[in-house]
Amino acid sequence: MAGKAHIEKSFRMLVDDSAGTPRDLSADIVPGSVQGGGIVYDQLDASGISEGVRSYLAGMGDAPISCRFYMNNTPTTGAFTVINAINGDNDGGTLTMQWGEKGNAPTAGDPEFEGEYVAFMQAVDFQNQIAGFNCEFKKVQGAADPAWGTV
Amino acid sequence: MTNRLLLKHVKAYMNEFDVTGDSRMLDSLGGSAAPIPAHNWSEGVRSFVADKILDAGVRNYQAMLNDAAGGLYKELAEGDDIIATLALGEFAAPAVGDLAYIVDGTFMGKVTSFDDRLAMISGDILSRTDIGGDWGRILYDETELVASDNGDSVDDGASSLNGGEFILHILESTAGNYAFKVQDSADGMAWADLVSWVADGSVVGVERVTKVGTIRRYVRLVATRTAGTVTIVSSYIRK
Repeated sequence: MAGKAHIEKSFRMLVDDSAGTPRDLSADIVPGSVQGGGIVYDQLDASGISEGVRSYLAGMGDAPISCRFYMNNTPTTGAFTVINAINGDNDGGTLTMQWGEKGNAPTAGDPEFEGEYVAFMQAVDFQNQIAGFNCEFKKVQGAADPAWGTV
Repeated sequence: MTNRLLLKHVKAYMNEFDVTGDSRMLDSLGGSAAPIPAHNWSEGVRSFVADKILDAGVRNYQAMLNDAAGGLYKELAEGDDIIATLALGEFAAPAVGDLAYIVDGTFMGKVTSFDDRLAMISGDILSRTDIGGDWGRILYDETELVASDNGDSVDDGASSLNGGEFILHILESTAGNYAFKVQDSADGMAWADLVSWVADGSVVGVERVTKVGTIRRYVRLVATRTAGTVTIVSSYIRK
């Protein structure tokens, strides 16, 4: 059975700007920097002293997303323009991660992870002499849990 | 080509000094609000709120130890108040409208070291006023003025209601006598005075003026010459 190859070139990240319009920031993401997509649950050791094998229960989860952006201040669409405007906004916005296949843009049926997030833009620096910034996204208070779906 | 900002196109102005020639590296500009866990015990995924307190300033700014006149080591001391503009050019030297990081802060300490056997100084410039540090734009790029000038307009896309801060660095003066002001406009054609600086170009220095309230979509710097020659650069922040 043929498998699917979801390579980095096919990845897209859409972030709501301050007006709630989704903006594709993928062209400004530094390769290799994306971390996230999915929920990681706390591993609660529920073993009893007489058990031969430890047993675990899933506790509360985390769904952080982070990446590094080049500092693109193009009006309206540049990563710095979009993220700086929503930095620390506790109303949050929709963040969507999509994984296309084999170098192609995501299409219907491809995996998608989406939720409501607050952006925490980090200080700008000059790695490899190019201005950029790391950004962490964390789930908005009171929002539904982020979830997997399809494009 | 997609916009990319390179370190080699950054110009650093601190008070009345262009310290670009001494500048070597910096760790970071600005900072982030901190996340506060805000979930209850029944949530499936932890949620957070931002504490809305930004860390502002220039961290670990590093420069060559230059004790010549005009050099950062000679002219700026630990504890000095510094109004700094770091202008980020787009594939070239900074120009009107380009991004700038602006901080009204204190030079927190001067540490000497050797970087590959070259004597260096380094320190943080951290915000000391309500302006803190923030991202803004170049209002007027570094220019030697020999005549009156209406600067190029900067289009911020829309008017704003929360005022702003306007910085004027006077880098050189030869018997300068000028009036400097900021004008705004709704359409880039009909202009009105917004704020003026007290500084008249007779001496080098730096000045910050605050505008409260509405700033219309377009802004520009206007310099009116009475006498002499000055070199200036200006930046601003919309709040």
